[in-house]
Amino acid sequence: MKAGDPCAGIPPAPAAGLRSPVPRAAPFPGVDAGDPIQVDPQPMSLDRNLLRRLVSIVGPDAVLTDPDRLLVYESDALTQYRHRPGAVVLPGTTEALSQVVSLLHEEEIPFVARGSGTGLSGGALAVGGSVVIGTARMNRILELDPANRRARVQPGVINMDLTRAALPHGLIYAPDPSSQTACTLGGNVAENSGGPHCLKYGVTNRYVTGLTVVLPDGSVVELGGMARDEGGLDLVGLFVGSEGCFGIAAEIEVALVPEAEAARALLGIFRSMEEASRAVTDIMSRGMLPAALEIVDRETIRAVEASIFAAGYPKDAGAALVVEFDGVDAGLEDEVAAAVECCRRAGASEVRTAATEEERLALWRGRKKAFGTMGRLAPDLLVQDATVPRTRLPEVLEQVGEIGRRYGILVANVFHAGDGNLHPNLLFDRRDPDEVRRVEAASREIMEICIRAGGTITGEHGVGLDKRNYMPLVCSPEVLEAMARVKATFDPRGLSNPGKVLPDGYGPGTGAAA
Amino acid sequence: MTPVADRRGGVLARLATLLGEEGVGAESEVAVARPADEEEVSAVLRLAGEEGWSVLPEGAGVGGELSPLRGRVAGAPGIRAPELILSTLRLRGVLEHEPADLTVRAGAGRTLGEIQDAVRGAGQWLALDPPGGEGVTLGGMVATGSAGPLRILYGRPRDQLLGLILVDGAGRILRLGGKVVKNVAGFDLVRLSTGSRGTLGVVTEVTFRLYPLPEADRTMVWSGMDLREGWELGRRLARLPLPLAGAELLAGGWPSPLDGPGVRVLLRLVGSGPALDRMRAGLLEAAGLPLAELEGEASARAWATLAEEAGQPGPLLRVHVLPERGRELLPTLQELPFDRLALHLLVGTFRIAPGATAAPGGYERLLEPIRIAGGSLRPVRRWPGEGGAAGEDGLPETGTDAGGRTGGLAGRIAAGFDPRGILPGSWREGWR
Repeated sequence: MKAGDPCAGIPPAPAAGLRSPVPRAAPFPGVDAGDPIQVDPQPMSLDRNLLRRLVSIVGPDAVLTDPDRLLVYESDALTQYRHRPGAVVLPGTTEALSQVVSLLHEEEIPFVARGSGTGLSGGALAVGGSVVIGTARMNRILELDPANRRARVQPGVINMDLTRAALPHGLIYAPDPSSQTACTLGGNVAENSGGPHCLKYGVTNRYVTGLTVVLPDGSVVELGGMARDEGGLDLVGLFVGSEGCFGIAAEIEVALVPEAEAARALLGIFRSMEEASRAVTDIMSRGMLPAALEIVDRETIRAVEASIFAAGYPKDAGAALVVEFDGVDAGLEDEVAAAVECCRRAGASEVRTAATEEERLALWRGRKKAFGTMGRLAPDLLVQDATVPRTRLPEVLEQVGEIGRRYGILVANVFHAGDGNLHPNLLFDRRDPDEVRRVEAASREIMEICIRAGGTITGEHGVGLDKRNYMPLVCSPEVLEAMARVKATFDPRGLSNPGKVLPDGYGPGTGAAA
Repeated sequence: MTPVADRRGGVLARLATLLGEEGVGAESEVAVARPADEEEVSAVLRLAGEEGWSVLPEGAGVGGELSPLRGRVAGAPGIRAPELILSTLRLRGVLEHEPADLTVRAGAGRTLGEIQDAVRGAGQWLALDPPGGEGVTLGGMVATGSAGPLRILYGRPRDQLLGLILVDGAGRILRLGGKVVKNVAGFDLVRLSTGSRGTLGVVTEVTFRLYPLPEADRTMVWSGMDLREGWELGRRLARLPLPLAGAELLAGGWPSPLDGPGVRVLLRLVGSGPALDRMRAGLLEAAGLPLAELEGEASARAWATLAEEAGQPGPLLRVHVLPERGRELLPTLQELPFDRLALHLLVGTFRIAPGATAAPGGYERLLEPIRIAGGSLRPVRRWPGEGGAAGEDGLPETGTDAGGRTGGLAGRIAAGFDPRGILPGSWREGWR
């Protein structure tokens, strides 16, 4: 490393261009004939002096500008979009994060925080060439406090790693999104993540008890805290699920819960999703509260069984239902027996129960690997996240099927049946512009029928970029304005994750007329 | 400055034209508005904004915090009385129970007890036991965000609320959230509203998730210890990996069935019969035979009694530390006189009723141990004759400087909802 210019050795920033305003982002922008991926037309150019100052805060290894290294940061798990960041900065401490954000604020450069990039709503996309602030180096568990059932972590800690650290003390971190072996706590906070076990245990917002937040101007504030008495506005509850629009969580305090003594699972095989949903309703109306209730449909089962993750689900099954109970060992067998009865009564062709822990994990495998095997069915995937009241599931699923058939789009359903949280996976090939248009139209119609059934547009993946233009379907103008006011209070300059959550016209950072 | 009575007359007259005679009351020296739905709430708040009236929303007044209509606000030196009390009791609205979805939607003026009665037939309940008991209104429960012992198993009101209607200080009617248990569409204004204590607006309707009524409900009571022994036992039991539905330490004079010699430790178990038997066996092994075991109705009644006590008049202090650090406060607490003390063993909050005869001066000895333990003290209700605002005469609030820690963020957020400054956060000292 040469003395003198700390930027020596860093390649110049990508294609020169003026700092672009935040582009209008449609949920599924028109496809350019030559390039099926929506690429941001005017990536931002950061001046060398700014880069130099960033390097002086975090060191040269922590500022990325080489297009080859930026590639992975151009997308998150919403792969239809690609937005090249102006740069990627990787601070390691709260202090460094604060200084980075202060600097960007001073220069009026927009930024977006990124954990592992597993988000499904485009929340980490660097719209308008924002600077990506990655939390990968802020990956330490700062404090594990089993006596008070709490932990304090940096945002880059991986969800599963926290549970692994807590297990020796008989404790777990309860929210278990399906991506938990990769996703970070910071990402979980941003999206208010759920997961199969949130049916019984609740979502992330129930378990975050305190936050140290770097606000969009770089100042650091403490919100909540388990050592603090409750009272005053619930700013922790407000920040969780704010999708990076209010600042960046630099430290996260969470509540841990005792690991259940035992868990029992069963798998019901049905001829149709209708039957599987009836079993779910029956189970819930008997006053049971399972730890998880998950359904996968025929298309998903076919995909899984044709893959290396084949779980032994019958390939001609119409639907498979995984039910899990956990808690004190005594009494679990009775609950399983009652659930088996509900499955049979609903017409299950087969019910399998697990006698050992290995068998229980095997029952889950088809469900857990479902998402990963979709690639067998088509090159591209649009995952929806609509949630409806549970009793409306059967009719909504039928309508989803009808929509898929009408548009000639293959739809594979995986969902959290107990919460009414659907994940229709729309399968397509992005090289076919007509198919892309049909997927967009089908997607919107699915969203609309879910809302008409009393539901919402997103149960756990967040609004991000993907669904911001659907917000008016579920929020009145007064509510959107109230949200915009809160956003403006945190972020008057509109620099923190612009172009996300709120549709155009609602305040700084959303583009177009405000 | 017009005399109080004249101003009140003017306020009442304006309100009567808006709400009709049944919507207006004058039973205290402060005018009372009783709107019947969100449109009327909006009209009242808009009028108050135009006229510059300070407004204080009130529910049933049993939740243990303040009750203007019961004389806990007006008249105390140093406290500015509101010009208008907005009672939510006529906001009864709908009562829509969807048993198959396990949700209930109801007007904020309805009480918790009313909801429990309405859903019990379907074998369900709202798994919340706030201070004040079943007489609290749904709106009051949401406004205070207060939770009782059940929170360790079921979560707090903020975790069970699916949606609500909030009329903000400018009279804007905001329909927030929805009817589904998982909803991340936009910023979480439902959670922001919960516990906002009237600083953002008036809650007129709520949608809660319900739970199945547990098959069995059992309370075990150990007693006969001093404060230190009780705390050690209570903490040891509470930390067992059992799905407890309540873990409290009680000291002082509590009504039956919460009475008993010495300090008592109460644990509540809910669930299936076999699970409870198994848990009971584990507890007997850990702690020996309890003084008493209550089943079913009797168990529920015990915890209802605990909740109702919190709504009783008289000074009340909240002392909060991380649960394990409560140990550091015991020597001082052991020497202080009090009528009743309750400690939530897994949350770390002591609720202390010092009694009418105990003087605030003695309690100042607690301040230093609290500070060392990193905790806080908040007087919820003051001694009669004591100054009302933080920092004035009487026991000071300590360790709760939320405003300072957030750099005024909370105040600016609230101001967005209350631009004219008519709601308590704007005009009442220390409300935020």
